Amino acid sequence: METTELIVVNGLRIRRGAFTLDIPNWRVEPGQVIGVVGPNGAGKTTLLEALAGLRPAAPGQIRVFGRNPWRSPVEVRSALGFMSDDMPLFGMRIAPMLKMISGYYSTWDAGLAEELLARFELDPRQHVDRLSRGQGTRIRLVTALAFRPRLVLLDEPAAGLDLSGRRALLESVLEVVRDPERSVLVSSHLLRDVERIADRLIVIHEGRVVREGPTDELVGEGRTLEEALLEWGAA
Amino acid sequence: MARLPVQLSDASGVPYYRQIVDQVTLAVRTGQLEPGARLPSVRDLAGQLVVSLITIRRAYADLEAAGRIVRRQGQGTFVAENVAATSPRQARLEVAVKLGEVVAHARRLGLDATEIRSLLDRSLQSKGDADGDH
Repeated sequence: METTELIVVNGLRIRRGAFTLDIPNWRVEPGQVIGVVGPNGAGKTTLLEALAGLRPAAPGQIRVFGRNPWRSPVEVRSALGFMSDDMPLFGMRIAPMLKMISGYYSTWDAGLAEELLARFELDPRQHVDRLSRGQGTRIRLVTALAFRPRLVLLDEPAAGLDLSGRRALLESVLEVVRDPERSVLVSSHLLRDVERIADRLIVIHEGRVVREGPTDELVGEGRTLEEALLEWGAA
Repeated sequence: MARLPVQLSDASGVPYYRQIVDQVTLAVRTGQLEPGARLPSVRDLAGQLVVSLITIRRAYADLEAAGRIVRRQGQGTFVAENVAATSPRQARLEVAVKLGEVVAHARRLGLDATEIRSLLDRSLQSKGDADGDH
């Protein structure tokens, strides 16, 4: 049977000064939530940015939807939702900003955008420049999700979110994978949240993959993900 | 489709899949979920309970292995037909057997009837988490 991986990584090597990210072999199937975990500086952001086509990788090292995200940014990004905390926004009110962004995506779902605004308790009349940090995170999540991307990459999406924001985030992630064709990668320090919703984990430490596999098999029973990370020296 | 009467607790320390298995089992035994009732799909229940798909798959696999639910290819997941709700008579019988064991154990430890009765009263009055009344 033909495989339909959303992501195929093969011998990925990215150097950044003294730091090297090394991912020998990794695949992401559709219909899953994947937690990307590891301490600060482990290489999580580098990996997510390379997958989103924001960083170059040598040809053949990364395939997203079968394409090189660096060489085919338009094709890849049209079905890939990327969210990080420092992603720039447009200095206008939320409603017209979303209207403008919607023009970039043929799959933009205005109804879903409205639902997401309500779930994240955002007022479409609010001006983006006057949002709190948490509200900024929320609106970035809305823009990453509202065009129903096949692949969603969330880099520390819970930073600055309060409890209700985190709940809305977790619900939104699981809503994506109600569609068995779509997957979400989420990097977060909130290990309990990751453990709760992730089907698989990739654990990175100092640029290397320490563990990769189904969450329940990796973590095992009677311990938390945090305890497991300590044991693997990746806390 | 039945919305499952499942409430997950973070505080209990019991793994989520186990909590789902226990609560569905209870709901089937008490008749809150009727034989043949259709259960949510794995993806829907994951969304409802806000837990990973593997958590739900594991819970459903355990419930299926225990004969509580059946999965029919292409149709969905259902409460097993042969798992009848516990009748009041059967429930009394089950509890009588359990109590018999407890009483025998208490007597071996040297407790007398008054002490056992007062312990039973106290346990009836307390809202322990073992009463299954969520």
